[in-house]
Amino acid sequence: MDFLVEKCGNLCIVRIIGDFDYYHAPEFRCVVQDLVDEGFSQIIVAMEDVTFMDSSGMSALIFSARRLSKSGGHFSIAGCSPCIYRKLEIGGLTTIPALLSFFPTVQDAIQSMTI
Amino acid sequence: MESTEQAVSSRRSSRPTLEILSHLQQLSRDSAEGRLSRVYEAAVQLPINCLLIDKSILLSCSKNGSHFFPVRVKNVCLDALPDCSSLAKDSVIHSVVVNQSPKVIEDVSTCDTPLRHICTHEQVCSVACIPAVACGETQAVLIYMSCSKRAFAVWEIELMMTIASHVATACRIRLVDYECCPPQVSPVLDRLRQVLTATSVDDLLQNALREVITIVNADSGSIMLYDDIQCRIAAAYGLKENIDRRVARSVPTISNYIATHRKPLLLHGPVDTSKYPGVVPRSEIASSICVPLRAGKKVLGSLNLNRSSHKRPFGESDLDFTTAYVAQPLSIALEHKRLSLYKDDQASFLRHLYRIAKMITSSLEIEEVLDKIMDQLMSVGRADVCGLLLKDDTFGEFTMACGRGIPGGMKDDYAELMMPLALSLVGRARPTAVPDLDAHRAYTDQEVVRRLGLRSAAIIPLFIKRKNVGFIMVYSRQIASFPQSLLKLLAGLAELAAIAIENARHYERQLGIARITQRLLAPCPLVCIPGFEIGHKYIPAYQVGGDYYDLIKLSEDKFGLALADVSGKDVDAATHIALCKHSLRAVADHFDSPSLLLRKMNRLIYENTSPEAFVSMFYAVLDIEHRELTFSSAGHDPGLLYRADSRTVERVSTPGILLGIQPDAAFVDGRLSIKPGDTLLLYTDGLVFASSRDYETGISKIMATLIEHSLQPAQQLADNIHERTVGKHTAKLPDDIALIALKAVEE
Repeated sequence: MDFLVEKCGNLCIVRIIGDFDYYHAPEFRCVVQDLVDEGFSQIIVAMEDVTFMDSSGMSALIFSARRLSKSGGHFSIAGCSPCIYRKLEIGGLTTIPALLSFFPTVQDAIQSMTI
Repeated sequence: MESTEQAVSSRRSSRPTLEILSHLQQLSRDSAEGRLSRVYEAAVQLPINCLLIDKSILLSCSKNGSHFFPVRVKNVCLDALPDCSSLAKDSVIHSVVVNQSPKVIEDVSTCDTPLRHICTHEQVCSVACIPAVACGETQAVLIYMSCSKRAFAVWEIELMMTIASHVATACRIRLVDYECCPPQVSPVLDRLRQVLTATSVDDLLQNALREVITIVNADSGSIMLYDDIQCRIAAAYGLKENIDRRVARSVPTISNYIATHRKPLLLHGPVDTSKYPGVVPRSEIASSICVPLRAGKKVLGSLNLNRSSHKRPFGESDLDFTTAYVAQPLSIALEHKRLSLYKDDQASFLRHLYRIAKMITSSLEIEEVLDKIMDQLMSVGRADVCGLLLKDDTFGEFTMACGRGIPGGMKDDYAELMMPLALSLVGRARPTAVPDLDAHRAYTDQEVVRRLGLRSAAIIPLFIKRKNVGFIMVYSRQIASFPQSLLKLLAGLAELAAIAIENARHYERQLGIARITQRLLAPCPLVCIPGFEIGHKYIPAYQVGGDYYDLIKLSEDKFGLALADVSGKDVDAATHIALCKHSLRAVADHFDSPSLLLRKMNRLIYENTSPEAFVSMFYAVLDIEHRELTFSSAGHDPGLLYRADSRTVERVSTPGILLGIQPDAAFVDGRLSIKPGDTLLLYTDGLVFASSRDYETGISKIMATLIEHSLQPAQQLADNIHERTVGKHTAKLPDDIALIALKAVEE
């Protein structure tokens, strides 16, 4: 798994590539933690290239979203595959827009912020 | 002053960053190659970019310090500068030149010198004057000015000094190259200058020596270098081999003499042994020149040139020429090369350590950690045999923990080899090399050393909290194969190893506690429910699992059935399970409605666990009298209900968020009746993902298996479902699996 981080102003896009599971979730948490510490308030997680996500991945998303919301920012998830979206939906995570917003694409997520 | 410092830090505070370092590296390259104009530009610009400097002046200094002329200024009006002679009278600049140490004036209005006039004109408040010193002489003075009143931090002055030293080196190289050099020798020196850019010290010296011998028409020569311990031959040309060896053993030599006296020597005929006691006269040499190679006050070594013909001895002019035009550029190039190599060495040392750290801290299991340490010792430590002794926690004795390299070697073999040496060195805090095992008496007799052909060894103590907890031992079949540099790396490795071992041990203890907890928490034998069969299966992916299920008797005809998946693995998960299981058991009989129970559980988990902990839970209350099931789900995978009459499977779930995320989350109840032959299957997502990486495909497979085995008794059904989905997985499971099958039977 790999992370690509793009930064622009107070917005940051973290692209997850590969399996997002027990072995890689801690790294993701660190990446987001660093970004929050750097002062980014809008983080979009691009999930188009996630091949698999288990409950550890989900845990990392929740942890990161909470961390960001505590420092006044907002966490968005873009481009989930139907399978991953289903898993998040079962967990009830799609019903808490204050913590996590979902968008079909990164572009949509960016637009929602600029409007 | 404090307030000034605060104001400074709020404006632009920056410790040296990588960017500055890369600029410095460029500056150092430019200065070594004598690119004066680039060096000057960097010297005036760099502090403006990265320190709180607004204006800068670079004054070049004449040889006797009586004249200064500005060679480069930044943000300063040239008209503001007083003439050369009045600058020379400036007491601040004068003291900087003479004392060769920097001077800082925090408030320039307090001093009354020509410098103040510049500052008043330029509206400058604070000034730092830095001398650029090379070969013991001040070559230039750098004046850095700030328009706000401020103090200068030590690191800022250090940085300015570094810049100044590069300016000085560049000035010096240029001075030697062009300004002082008689025109007729300049082409010859150009050749020398070229060889001075060689990449390694050895090449540099060897090539330079050959070039110098040609230039001064010598027959033989050598370059000696001094390190802390001895003087050694670094390059030689035309010398007899036995002389090489003799000198290397650091007997008194002319070189040692000039290292102490720092003065060049011209010798004719055989050496006067009364003047230079201990020096062995060499008949083949008719005359020689010995010139110290100096960088500032430090003597790096000496350049020795010999002529064997008596008809053509060296003269004073040869000595002067060699001192001025050869020894000086050679010294500067040599010192520069040594510094840059040292820098490279440090960088590669840190890179190595980083890689080692990454490797040996990548595991928490003690066996794996030890194995990785052995891997690193064999590769990085270039060992043929290596081993690790650790202090026994209980008895406080050193025992062999592991070893590598003895073909078919058991622990005892390693212990036999390593114990004697280790025990002889217990208490020693520093890494020790045994360059020649033959010289070690205890070892000469050791059969195992002879059998393995081991020649040298090194032993590195491991410390945790200042306590010696073990030893790393490395052996090699080569003699003296653990030099200081490698020993330093091994010491770094040992430090990391000690931490990794301590962590692994700590983790093991923690895991031990977790295992005990888990035993107490493991799904207990489920109670019997009249009219129902229960089948269950639980396979943790790690030593301690994160799934659990429970069946609680609420009253004579009501039973609570719970299945949960806790986030995290191992120790974390075990503690969360403990919380869930006991809270659930404590509150279950207070709630008839599963949704209200989940609401309560959600609060408990939210308030009592870390922010990243969450739990998905399916909870159902089974009313056996009415054969009715009330259920609620908190973000858990849907239950699968097999209906015997239609031979179909329906998904059973209610919307609800995972427990522990939102403090005020609400849940809803669902209700269904359950008839004989019907089976409710609850599971955690580990089962789905073990079956397929695609969630829906996984669920479909489980549903098909449930239909296929629906006629079997509940336990057999649970076993079969597990076998069908996981059976093929020979590798480690990615996640825990828990499943429970509740089958209604005829009473």
